[in-house]
This record gives sequence, C-alpha cells and structure tokens, in this order.
Amino acid sequence: MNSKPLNRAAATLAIAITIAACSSTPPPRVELQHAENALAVASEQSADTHAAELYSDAQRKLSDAQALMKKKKHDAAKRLLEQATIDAQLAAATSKARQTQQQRDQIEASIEALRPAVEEHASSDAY
Amino acid sequence: MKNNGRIEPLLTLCASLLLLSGCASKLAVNSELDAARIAYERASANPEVSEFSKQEWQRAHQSFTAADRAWRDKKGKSVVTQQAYLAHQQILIAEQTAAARVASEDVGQLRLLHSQTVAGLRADEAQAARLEAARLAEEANRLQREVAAREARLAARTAELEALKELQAKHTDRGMVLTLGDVLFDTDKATLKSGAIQNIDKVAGFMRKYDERTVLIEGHTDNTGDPEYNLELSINRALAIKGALEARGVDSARIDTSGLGEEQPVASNDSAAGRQLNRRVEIVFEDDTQSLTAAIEE
Repeated sequence: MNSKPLNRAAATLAIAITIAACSSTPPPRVELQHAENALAVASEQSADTHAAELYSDAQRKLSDAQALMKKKKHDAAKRLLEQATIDAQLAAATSKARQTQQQRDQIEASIEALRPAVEEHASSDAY
Repeated sequence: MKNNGRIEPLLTLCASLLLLSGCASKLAVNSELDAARIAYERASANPEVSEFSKQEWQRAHQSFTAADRAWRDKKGKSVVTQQAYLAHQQILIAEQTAAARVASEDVGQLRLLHSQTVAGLRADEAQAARLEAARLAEEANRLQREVAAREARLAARTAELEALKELQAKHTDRGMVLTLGDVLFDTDKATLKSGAIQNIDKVAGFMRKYDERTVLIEGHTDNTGDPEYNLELSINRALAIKGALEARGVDSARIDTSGLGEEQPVASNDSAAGRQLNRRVEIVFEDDTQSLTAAIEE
C-alpha cells in the first residue's frame, strides 16, 4: 500500500516522458527539402505567373514552417511542409495545364484567322 | 468505507468505457475529408483523369483511401485533416495533369491542322502563281507572234515596194504610178511595139507575184488632132496593155482601164518634147499603196 503513491508517480513520469518524446520530433529536414524542390519545379513551370495563388500558398507555408522549426515546433512544421510540397506540385500541374490550354487557344485562333483565306481559295478553286 | 473505496474506481471505469463506446458508434464529421471526398467522386466520374494521368490518379486514390481509413480508425482530427488535405490536393493534381495532357494532344492535332492549312494555302498560291506565269508566258508568245507577223508583213510590203521601184514606178498622190511612154506604140496606133514587151513582162511578173494588187490603166494623148479621136486612141491603148497583161496570166478582174484623151496633160503641148510627155499610158497601182508607203516610213 505504501508503494502505491510511488507507482502512481512513476506512471505519471512515464507518460510525461512519452509526451515529451513525442513533441521533440526531430526537425523535418527531409520534408523541408521536398518542399523546396517542389517549389523549384513549380517555378520552372512558371507557376508564379500561371498559378500565382497556389504558388504563393506554398511559399508562405514553407516560410511559416521554417519559422516554426526555429521555435522547435517540428510537428506543426512538418505538417506545413507536407502541405507546401503538395501545394507546389499542384501549382506546377495547374500552371502546365493553363499554359497548354493557352497554347491550344492560340493555335485555334490562328487557324480561325486563316479561315477567310481558306474559304476564298475554296471559292476561287470552284472556277 | 473499504467497500466503497473499491467500488468507486470500478464505476468510474464503467462510465468511461460507456463513454468510449458511445464515441465509437458515430464518427465525427471532418469537413476537410468531406471536401476531398467530393473531389474524389468528381475525378472518379471523369474518364480523362484515369486515362491521361494514370500515375497521379493512382497516387490520389491511395492518398484518399489512407485519409478515409485514418478517419474510420478514428485517428486524431489533425492527422485526418492533414491526410485529407494532402489527398484533396493530389486529386486536383491528377485532374490538372489530365487537363494538361488533353490540351497537349489537342495542340498536336491543331498544329498539324494548322500546318496543313498553311501548306494548302501556299500550294494554292503557288498554283495561282504558276497559272499567272503561264498566262504571262502565253501573252508574251502572242505578242512575239504578233511582232513577227508584223515584221513579215512589213518585209513583204517592202519587197513589193522595191519591186515597184524596179519597174520605175513613181510615188505619187494616187499611189505608185508607172508611166509607159508613147515610144511603146506606133504613131496613132494602139498596137504595142515589140520593144514594149520587156516592160509588159515585168509588170505581168509583178502582178502574178503580188496577186492581191489591182491596177488602173489610163491612156493619155497630146492635143494634136481631134479630141474624140484622141479619147478613143487613149482607151484603145489602155486596153492594149490590159490585153497584153491578160495574155501573161493576169486576171482581167484586177485590171481597170480608162481613156482620158488629152484632158490630163503632164506637160505643155506647145513643144514637141512636152507633147511627147503627154502621150503616155499610166499604170496606177491601186489598193493600199498608201498604207504600203506608210508601212515603209514607220
């Protein structure tokens, strides 16, 4: 019976250690690298112009995560870095899609611009 | 007290167990996961996504399934929310990738169409240019033929004029006129002297060669003797020349004759020399001798 309070204290300590261990996740260096890479790829796709909102979301999350890492809030930083990575990937994909669609629209327009000449030739061929 | 002390923790355990089972019976709503689910269903319904972004869609599918499992396994809210967010973005990536590839295929086909259209137009233009070149070449040929024909006509007329000049014909207002003096005829006779034959042969040769040409043969006399007689003599002399030309193969239809008697002297009848000049036969080469000389002068 005397040992009971001691046991309770030990259990509490164990839990505290566990929690502390959880919160002291190592800094998410790999995730940081991934986010930076993804942003570089997005930048190559001109996502800063063609998917500006998504791109700046990713940038903001990256810098927020870096700030959190300085405060040793590694869990929150890791979550933000994962988001920054996928946001940057989406920005890249969206930028590519929009640019390709623009290209398509331009070619369609130039074909459309040729239509009068084609029709003129078609009618003159009839003679 | 002892009993109570033992029962109390037991009751607490029961209560907390009940509470936990209550939790297990219904899952908490996660709006992030719901949003991801809507996107997942939309992308699933789009055949282009699975066809054109197979890899991305597979990743999105796995990501969403994991988020959903985390939620069903009642993982912490922040864990589920994070996974749902990542899955949602991955779904959007699959959709955008598919859209890019669809557009890219369109670009390929449209480029082909564009270049074919341009090539077609160029071919049409080239064809039009070829037709125009052929037309111009034909026009040039036509002009060349025209020039050649003109030159040939001119050469023919020049030759004809030269031939007339060789006959001693003179250029007058009436055209080319060849004057045969009275020495070709016996006095008061309308028969040709043998010496006239050479001249007549030349005129006949010319007429045969230039078979379009027509002539007017005019007889003239001086004023000695009876005017009526002179008129008749002038007619007969003109007819004598005509007969000689006919005998040499010149169609009579090409020869007109007239006698003018003493009406048109070319010199004074006061002197013997003037009267001799007035006794004459003129062969007037008609038709377009005017244009003939004009052609020479051009």
